[in-house]
Amino acid sequence: MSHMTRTTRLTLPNGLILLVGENHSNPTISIQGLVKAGALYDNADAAAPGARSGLARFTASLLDLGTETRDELAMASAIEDIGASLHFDGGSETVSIRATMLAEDLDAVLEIAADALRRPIFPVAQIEKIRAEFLNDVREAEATTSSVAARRAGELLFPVGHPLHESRGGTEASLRAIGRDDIVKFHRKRYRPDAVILAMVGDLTPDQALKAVTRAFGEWAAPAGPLGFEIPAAPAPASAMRRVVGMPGRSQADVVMAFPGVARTAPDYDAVMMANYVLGGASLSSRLMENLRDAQGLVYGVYSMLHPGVGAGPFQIRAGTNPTNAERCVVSILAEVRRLHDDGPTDEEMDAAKGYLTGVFPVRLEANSGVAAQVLSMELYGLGADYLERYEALIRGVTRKAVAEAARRYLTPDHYVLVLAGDLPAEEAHAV
Amino acid sequence: MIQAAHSEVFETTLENGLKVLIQEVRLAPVVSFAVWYRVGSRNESAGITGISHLLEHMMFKGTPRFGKGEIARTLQRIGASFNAGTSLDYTCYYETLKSDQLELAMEIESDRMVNATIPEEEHRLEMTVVRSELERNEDNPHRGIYQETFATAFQAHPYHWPTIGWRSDVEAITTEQIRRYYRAHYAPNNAIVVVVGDVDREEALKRVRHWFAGIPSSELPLAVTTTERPQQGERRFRLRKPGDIRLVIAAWRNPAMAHPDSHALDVLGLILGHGRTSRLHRALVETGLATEADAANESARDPFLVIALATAAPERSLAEVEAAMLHEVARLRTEPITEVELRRAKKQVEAGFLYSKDSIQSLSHQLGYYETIASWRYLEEYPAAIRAVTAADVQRVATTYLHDDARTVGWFDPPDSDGDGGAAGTAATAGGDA
Repeated sequence: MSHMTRTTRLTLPNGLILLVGENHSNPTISIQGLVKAGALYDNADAAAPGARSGLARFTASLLDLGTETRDELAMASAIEDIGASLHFDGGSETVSIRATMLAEDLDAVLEIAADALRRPIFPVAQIEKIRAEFLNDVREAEATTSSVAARRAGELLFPVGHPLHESRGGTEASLRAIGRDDIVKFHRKRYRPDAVILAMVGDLTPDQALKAVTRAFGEWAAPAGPLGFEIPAAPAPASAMRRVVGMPGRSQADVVMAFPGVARTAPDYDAVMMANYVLGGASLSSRLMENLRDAQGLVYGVYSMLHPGVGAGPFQIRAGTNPTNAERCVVSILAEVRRLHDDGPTDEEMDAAKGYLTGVFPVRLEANSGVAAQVLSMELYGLGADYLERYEALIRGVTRKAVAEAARRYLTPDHYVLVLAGDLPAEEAHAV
Repeated sequence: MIQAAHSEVFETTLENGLKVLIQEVRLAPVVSFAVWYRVGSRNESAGITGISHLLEHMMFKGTPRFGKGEIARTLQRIGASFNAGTSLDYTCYYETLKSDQLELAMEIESDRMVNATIPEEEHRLEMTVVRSELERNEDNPHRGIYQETFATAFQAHPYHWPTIGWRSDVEAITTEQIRRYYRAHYAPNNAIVVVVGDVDREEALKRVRHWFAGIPSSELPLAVTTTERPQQGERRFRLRKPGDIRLVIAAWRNPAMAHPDSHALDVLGLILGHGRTSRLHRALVETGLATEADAANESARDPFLVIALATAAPERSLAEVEAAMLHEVARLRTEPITEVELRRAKKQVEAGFLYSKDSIQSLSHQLGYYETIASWRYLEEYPAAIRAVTAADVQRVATTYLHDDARTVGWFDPPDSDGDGGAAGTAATAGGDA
């Protein structure tokens, strides 16, 4: 599939998983990794549902802002002095780790990454800096029609207490309530070697990689007890639910319709993914775009998307429109949902989807970082070490019937949540 | 240990004047194909500012061969990653796709080099998209302060106006003007074809000839020759527009990218404003004066700008942020940079150069970009030229270019804030406080 000669999977005695791809064309290495310490655990120890939302992202953002041996500036210079990059980002399920370096600096970067992951000290001053930044993010999100519509739709779709009920960014109340103790405890409990996967692609051998990773992470002991890395499935809405959030003075209104989506590990994932492509995933040539934008001129843009992970994130349809067109927009989105639900895709649409998916795959793998990201998700979702080789046949093998069935199962025209946000008369959530 | 995956860059010019750059890179079964036109907002004039960008949009509206929407649909159907971009000095179109689809990319680009229909109705419809882009720009404080900076620092040279154009021009440009501009500037002798990736050089060149050699060259409009007069005194502006942040900018005109001083200025830019170890970050962000601070030497075909930009922290005045920023710039003139700083900057350049070779898409982009603005060889010679920069060079270019009479200083200072700081400054930041 790609230029790599092979991918090797290695495990340290403490459970850390290492995936190595060799590409000796250029003296660089790209690392894409993760820690199973994302927002799904935010409220695991909270006194009330939602009381600590944002905790995982908060913790991840503090990792490289001070450790037992380096303050923030020392951390920054260690990376910048060697022209490398190292980033941590707290997502819904995992904390992502991204790094780029020259091959000669592999040991240095791994040592810095290990320092950040294993020995952060969470200085109070840095906590307050991050808190101010995140509070600002929340305020901005709550003032933006697109994120308000998406946030309220998530709250309607996932019941209180479900890990996806709230945004990974948290709420103003939860962000104010998070204390240093919460962060320290979260880190102690969730950051463990058997929760870490590192995919490393570039100018290195498996042997070099294993030695370097062992030096940096080998002495990190795994605590007893299982990780418990899962997200419960959300029930489908009992009916269609609708809410309108009035935001006076905004020139754009946003519409979000959401259904319970699909996990990346689900057997019908490829079929659902292709249904999404036909409906609104195919950028300019999707059904939604051709109808709402090209034929009716109702929207600037309209898209559908899945958020597949270990858990099933929402299957969302999102549109930005002039407020006067918002209701027409809803009617047309529903009509397209119903059409795909009832009739499935056409043969021509199946061909277009397969052409796109098989064509874009090698393009996404053209750089080390793309290969590393792919190998990482193969490991996380158990897609198999031969997934790269199987991919094209897998996609070619998805039938029109399978996609039609997926559309019937997921795009239920009578069970969805719908939220509009903009300069519109407000409506509390109600069944329609 | 390193296995040669990258060939030398092969350069040739077809009889019709089309420059061709080909590099074999056997990393993945993928190729990146691009056409760069030597036309951008620098080639515009009063009344037609923004026309290069408008034309770029119209290039997706079809030809007799590929009807409306067909270019995007065809490329989407084979999973190509494709886009276009317009800047001061260039307009570029690229497709990155499976190497067995290269022919299709060439067909599309050779076709629209001369056959774009630019229908009036499509122009009218596209104005919705262009207007929303204009509006987004107008609402964006960063875009706002940059625009004002360019308009202040350049009085004669076309870098005076933004690439997107002045709104009244963009609204008034006729379809016929776009067609005329297209015919004047889109020609093989004003273009560069770049092929990078999983190809055989000879075969790729043969296919380029097949698709492009038959397009006749044309007489190009006169080159832009305006040079900006030396700036003889500080220029200032204060932008009073609604917004939820407050910004300070300072800019100095630099030499054209091809000038030998560019390397020392690039190093200066990194030390002044790149990353958390940079001088501006330490003097402005670490101290709580600003929440963000960056600087860079922004080079173009003609002299452009060294730019420093900071976002003021709530309750800190724009005046104190500005003073701290200018103090750091003055230090570059009065004392040499440290060895540690110089070593760091050089390593960053070297690493960045190698990172860009990881991806054929970024490699292709760099070749086209440098060829349009200076020469693709600039890219090859870059690491060695940067390695040769000394602390004395950096101090010398700081003194030559970054002096007080040559600077443009601007504030983005929304009306409901108080630029001199105090409590009112807080109220101006994002949606009040709690």
